[in-house]
Amino acid sequence: MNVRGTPCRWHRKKGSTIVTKPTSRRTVLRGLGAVVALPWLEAMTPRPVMAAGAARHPLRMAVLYMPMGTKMIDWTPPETGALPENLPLNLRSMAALRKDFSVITGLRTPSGLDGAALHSHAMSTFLTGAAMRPTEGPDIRNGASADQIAAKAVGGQTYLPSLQMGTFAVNRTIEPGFNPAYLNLSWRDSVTPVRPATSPREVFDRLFTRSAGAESRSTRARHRSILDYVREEANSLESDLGAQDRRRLDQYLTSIREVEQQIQRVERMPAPTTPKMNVPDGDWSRWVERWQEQVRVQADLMVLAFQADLTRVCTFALEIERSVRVFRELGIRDDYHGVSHGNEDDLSRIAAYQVAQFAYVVEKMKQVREGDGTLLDHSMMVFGSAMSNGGHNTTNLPILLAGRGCGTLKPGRHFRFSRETPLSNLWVSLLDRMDVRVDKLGDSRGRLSDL
Amino acid sequence: MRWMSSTLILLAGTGLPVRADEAPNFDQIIGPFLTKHCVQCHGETKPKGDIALHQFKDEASVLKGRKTWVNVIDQIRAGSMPPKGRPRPEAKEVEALVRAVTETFDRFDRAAKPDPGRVTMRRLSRNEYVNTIRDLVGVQLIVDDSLFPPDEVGLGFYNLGEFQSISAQHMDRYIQLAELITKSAIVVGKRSDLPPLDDQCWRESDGRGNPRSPRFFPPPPPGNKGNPSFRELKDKEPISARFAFSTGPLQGGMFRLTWQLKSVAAGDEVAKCRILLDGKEVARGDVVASKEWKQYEFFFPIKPGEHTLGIALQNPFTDPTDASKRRELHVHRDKVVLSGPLVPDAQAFLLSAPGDLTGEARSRYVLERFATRAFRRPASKEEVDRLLKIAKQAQTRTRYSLSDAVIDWFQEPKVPKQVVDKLRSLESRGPFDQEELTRQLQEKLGKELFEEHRAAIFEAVETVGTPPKLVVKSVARLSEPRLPKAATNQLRQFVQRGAMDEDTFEQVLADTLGGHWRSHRDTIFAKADKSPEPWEGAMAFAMQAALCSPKFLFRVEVESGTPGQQPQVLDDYALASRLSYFLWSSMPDQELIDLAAKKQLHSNLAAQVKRMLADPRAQQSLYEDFAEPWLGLRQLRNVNPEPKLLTNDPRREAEAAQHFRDVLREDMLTETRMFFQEIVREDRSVLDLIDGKFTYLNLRLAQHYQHAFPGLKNDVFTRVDLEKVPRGGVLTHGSVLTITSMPSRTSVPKRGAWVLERMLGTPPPPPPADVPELGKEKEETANLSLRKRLERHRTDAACAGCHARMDGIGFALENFDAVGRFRVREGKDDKNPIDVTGELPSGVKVEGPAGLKKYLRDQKHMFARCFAEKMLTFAVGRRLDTYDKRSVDGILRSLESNDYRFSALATAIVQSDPFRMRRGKDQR
Repeated sequence: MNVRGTPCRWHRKKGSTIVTKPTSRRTVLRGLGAVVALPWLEAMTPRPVMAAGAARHPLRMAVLYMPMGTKMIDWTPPETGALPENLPLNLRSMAALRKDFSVITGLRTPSGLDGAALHSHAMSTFLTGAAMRPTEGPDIRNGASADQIAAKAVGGQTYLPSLQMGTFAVNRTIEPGFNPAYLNLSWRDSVTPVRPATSPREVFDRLFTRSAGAESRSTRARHRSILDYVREEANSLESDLGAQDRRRLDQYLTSIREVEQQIQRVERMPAPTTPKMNVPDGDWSRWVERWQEQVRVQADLMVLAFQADLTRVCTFALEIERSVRVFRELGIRDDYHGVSHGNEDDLSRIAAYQVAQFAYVVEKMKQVREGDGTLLDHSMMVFGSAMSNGGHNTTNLPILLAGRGCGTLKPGRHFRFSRETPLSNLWVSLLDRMDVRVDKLGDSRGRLSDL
Repeated sequence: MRWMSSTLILLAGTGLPVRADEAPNFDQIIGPFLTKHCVQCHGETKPKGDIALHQFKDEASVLKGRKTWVNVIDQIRAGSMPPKGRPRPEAKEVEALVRAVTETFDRFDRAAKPDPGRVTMRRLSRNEYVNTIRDLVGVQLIVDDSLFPPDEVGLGFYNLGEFQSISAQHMDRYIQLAELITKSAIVVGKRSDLPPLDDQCWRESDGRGNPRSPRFFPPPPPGNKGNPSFRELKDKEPISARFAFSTGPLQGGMFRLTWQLKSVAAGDEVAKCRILLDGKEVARGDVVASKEWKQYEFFFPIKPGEHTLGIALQNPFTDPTDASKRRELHVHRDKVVLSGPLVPDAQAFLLSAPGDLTGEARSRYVLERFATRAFRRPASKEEVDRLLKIAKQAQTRTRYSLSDAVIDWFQEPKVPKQVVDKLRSLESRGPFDQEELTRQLQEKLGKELFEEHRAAIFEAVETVGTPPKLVVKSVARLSEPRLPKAATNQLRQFVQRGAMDEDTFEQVLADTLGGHWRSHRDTIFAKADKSPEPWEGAMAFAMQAALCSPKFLFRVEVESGTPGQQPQVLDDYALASRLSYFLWSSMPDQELIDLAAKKQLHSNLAAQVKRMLADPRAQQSLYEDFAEPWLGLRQLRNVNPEPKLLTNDPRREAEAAQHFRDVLREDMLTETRMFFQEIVREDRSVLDLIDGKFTYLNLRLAQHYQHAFPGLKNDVFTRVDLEKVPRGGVLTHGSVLTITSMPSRTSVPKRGAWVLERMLGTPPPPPPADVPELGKEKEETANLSLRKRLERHRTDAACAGCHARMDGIGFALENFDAVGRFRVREGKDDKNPIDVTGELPSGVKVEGPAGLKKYLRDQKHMFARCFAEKMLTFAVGRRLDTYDKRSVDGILRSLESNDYRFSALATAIVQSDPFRMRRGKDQR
């Protein structure tokens, strides 16, 4: 990472000599982080989103995920209807945005045995509502997730069909009995999880490295001929393979096709401007101690992607289920998963901390003017968890819905649905607003009216 | 039903094959248990959960219902069945049932038709990719998270084919990486005129599969060439000096850094410096204390583009008794030279061909050899043809270069002097409309001269007023050079650079010219000298393509001639790859390929295993790719214990936490690494993993453990004998003890579960869904000791079964705190003596670490089975299945009759059917 302009402090002796005076490496890294924190957002020229006079702005959908739930009493407004000025403890950071979001309670995800579900179970079904198969083996099964259904329908119109983000690589946490693939939110189809980008650098790369600004026509031509070559190579293999191998080869061919499509999109679409910023750090270990900063840098990139219409669909797992992160900045000693089973009050504080990040990004969206409204007006932003509390309870989930959805949402209220209402009803309702008609998503049984 | 994935059913028991006369009786155990506890609900009429158990009337029916039985045993063991409110079977009853069912299936499996199994083709894992590139092309990649997506983990390992996937993100990175790799290995066009790397250089491989260990060496005299533009950066400590630079017109590749350094001594260590590229360590070395500047030299790869380069003292030290005595690193700010990219000798190797070959024959030779190495088997004619085709495509591309003549042209005035002079009289006249101005100009210049310079002249014409009129302004502007002097001067450097591909040319010029680039781009491209892509570039491009082929990225095992319905013996090339990726995590070397070509590998397996285990690559990769995942140690980098555990001084907590992350954690991993590597290197018994009476420590780690050993230093790990301290075996390593703890305290069940899963192969099932974990009932139990709380936890029947197994083991390790220090007391002011007695469900008492190790030693058959199964899983890249049981038995017999030596295990695995053979593609 380039750190030109970092404030200086060093010691000289005798002209050309520099004497080391040891301090911690962390000081420096903090400094680096500060450089990353986005001075460029305003400087960035948004891509013209639509022709002059066009009536509609594109509708964006973002889903931010919080694992392990909260203490619901700290979350739930006492009454339904308009949100009170005095918001519940967890939602205090959203006070200034009271007219911009709604609280939704009462929804549920599909449950496992006895009305409860394990962490992987909950997280994987958050956006799918599917009857997932609990397995540790490769025989995973879930369902297509709402964001991917949306991406399939509207993703062709943008440079990146959808963006997935996380803060922690899923292969770093294991829940006994579950394939770690189940710690993914987004699922292309019932057997294909979509891996999130888990560092600001990776998010940056997904948004900008194949953009026309960073890659030239001749590079694309070279990459195209390589793709043609490897397709022939793959085809020449096919007859030799057993059934399992052929499936893997199909996956390989799909990935080739997707890269090609990506190249085509770049050529078809006006070039997104690569923002003038220092490319953020990709080394996960540098971010692990700076969760909030990581979340905010990535959230900023998401806002930027929406603003420049690089994508319209985004999922962001602020943490994963069974996370072992220790939120020392909150003065909490145990790891997150441990807290979720041990200390409701600390769990609630961690939830509030994550809501504060949601508030940050909603506020940011609200500041971006678009046409005669704001980016937030043209978005539907969901924040929520697939568990209501640390007891593995998957009913009465904590859900927030922000934005006006291009005039289709009336935020500022508290909706309470009956306890058996599937969360997938919400997704179907949001997909409707994106003109993506699905009759059923997982266990959905209709739509949520009057949002 | 797969065994390792879902349950203990097939693994529980003694670890030894069952003899027929011990055969359990359905009528005596299984039947009565069902009648007593199950069929009331799971019977004929409306069986709950559609599980009907009344149908199991004899052994044959049990064998048919395997899937159901796996589930049944899981539920019963987990204590979820029989449900709450029903009479609970006694622990003894449950054990007897599990044993009876297990043995029933065991006997059946051992009598079944042999089946070598079939692995799903494996994508090279991240480590395998990096190692293979190192041995294939001679380029060392630096592994980090931005390389490509992290590997999927299945059963703890990163190389199981069935768990892997490949996505567009992978493909994207593979293509880009292949470009970087081939560009680093093969430098096209004019090279830097530095000498090639010689044998002493920092490098891990020479491109022929012969690794060398990285080393730093005192330098030969300096070469002052190719120093890319350096800018000094002002910095915060602890970086001693840092520069920003761009590789500029140079390409990426291996670079040499020479730097004049000296150090001031303090303490008993020599000053060590770290070279940081973009903040990441890429090289380190000792800087001897002296008054004179000395030149030091480092080698490392650099990608093209903008970078920062820094140097820092790695081991700062201040004498505790005299603060003025400090270890210092002095850095000469002017005497730093970065040169490169060096011509890798890999290039000479990759492109070499017999002298009499020319034209296409030469290309064919080079590409065939490369494809054969990259695909790890002879390349077919079609494959080489495809590569030739893509190389030909590359040769149609154009390279661009700037000559002095082109640059001279840009230095000329936009319009010749005589023309400018003639135009002076028109200056500030007008305004004219278009026609009138044209007429005036033609009059002054004559038609011919006007047409020639028409475009340039109109640069001096401006539009004014409405309706628009034209005025000739500042004619003098026309006599300026086409490009400003500063810009053309900068362009001169590229004359040396030679021909560049379109991208590089564009990028380099855009960087140099800044704002001028856009307006002059087309002219420069038109004026630049053009040449076709040279042969080297075409070869590099074909190699780049080959590195994206599925035949390189996946380990494809080509079908041999036998019919697909039959198990087949692997062809020798596939076997060579299995061997090399098992023991080296890399491609086969020449010797393996030669043996495969002669079809002599199958008959030489034992000798090859012996040779390969002696190679440093085996110690490295068997630790990194097998042992570390097996022990779960990759998790350690996620663990950040509470600073309070690391220091008693509240003011130094931040420092202690930092110290743990940067230093201690790595020390802990090094201990386990060196311990395991000795077992491989010295061919020790694998049982040493349980209780070997030695380990490797440095001073820091020994101090952390609070053990005193004479002669330890910080920078060297020394083998120490553990007769006098209560340690030995991986269970007592700080690494293992830390990952099995919570951030703020030890976790008895976690440690127990770790031992059950990783050392005995009998993992406890996941906890039932709706059980609150420790601390939930906090008010009433806050005053109880951890042991008391766990005991209360165990009174819940749903927990009891598994916790008895886990906690019995975990308690015995309570002598070690959450960061691996030995202790005999805990709590506030160390008031409470620690009770380290655990009781297992069988009634066996295990006391303290020594007791636990003795217990495990008594269970050596189980440990050996577990270890062998894990290693076989890693070696064949798939989950084991019931039909593998017979092979595992064979491997164990061989291991046990060879004193449990590591090499006996590796050899037996390599010689086993699952390793040497595979199921036909159409079988079953």
